[in-house]
Amino acid sequence: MEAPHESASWKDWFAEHGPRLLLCARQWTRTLADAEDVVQEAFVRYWRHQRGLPGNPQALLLVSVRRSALDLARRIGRRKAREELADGGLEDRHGYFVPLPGDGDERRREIECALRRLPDEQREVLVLKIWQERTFDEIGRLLEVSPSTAASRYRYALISLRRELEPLCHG
Amino acid sequence: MDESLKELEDELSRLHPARPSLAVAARIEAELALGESRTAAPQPGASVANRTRRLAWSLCVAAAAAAVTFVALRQSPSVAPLPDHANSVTRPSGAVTTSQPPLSPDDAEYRPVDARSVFYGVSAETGVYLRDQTPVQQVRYRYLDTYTWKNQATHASLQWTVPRDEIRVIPAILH
Repeated sequence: MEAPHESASWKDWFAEHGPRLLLCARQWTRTLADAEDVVQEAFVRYWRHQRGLPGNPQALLLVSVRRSALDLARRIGRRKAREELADGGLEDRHGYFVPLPGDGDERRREIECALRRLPDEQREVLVLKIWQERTFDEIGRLLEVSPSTAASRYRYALISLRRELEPLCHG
Repeated sequence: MDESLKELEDELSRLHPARPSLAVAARIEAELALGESRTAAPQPGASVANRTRRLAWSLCVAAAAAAVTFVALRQSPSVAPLPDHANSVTRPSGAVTTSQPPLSPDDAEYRPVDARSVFYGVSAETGVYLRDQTPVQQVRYRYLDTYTWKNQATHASLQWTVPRDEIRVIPAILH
């Protein structure tokens, strides 16, 4: 992967990798707006202070995004919980993925629904593996679990997804 | 891994995550530009969006405080500013309400972190006629608003509670 400091500008790099970072951030935040705030904060911190560091920039950014998301969750957790009790929950209805043309979009929506129904710990591993192309070792380090736990969660996630989607395929 | 899971993996990887909104890129650009023009080290977490929110939040607090003062002065003719406290008014209940928050966001390192409102009473008041002679009933809703500001550097916090009365009017038939 191209390091951001080798890019002509942060815009090019962000245009290419921002969507995947945002998808990850959405696994750790409650709303799209929160996820965008987290990505912004992490990216600015990275660009200013960390882009000269050795190592995989995407991995550094992921750590930064997760840390920002956890900080945000701690800051607003109690308030959000109260709000959710009051308004029946904050459901993030913005799509995870770019809409597909024609009939393909129906399938995209089915996959998104199935993804949202996965347990959080399975969905975050799946997202990191599929759309961030992280290894189980890297995922384990990021989430502070063993690589085998990360691999198990990934497998369970795929099996659950297949089970959710199969009736739709054959129905 | 069996074949169907592999196919599912491939199908998932063909989906492209949605892009961040254009506003995010604009905010990043503004923040990076701000960082370049600033000599002081940036504060982690102090994004432009957050600062904008804080500013809007503190404006809301100031507006709410001003509204409280306005309502108090308008609804309670006996209420008058104390001579020794230019920014304060005495409520009928005896509580002291400041018309401004004790600190502005630019003071020290304190930032607003929490605001909550407790509703504790409602009472019907006398009926009145509006200017167009519409008869209405005044209803007074009573709240206690609590604001918390925190110093990001020292983690010291500052909390104050302000009584707030909200007068609503509802259509009524007056005899």
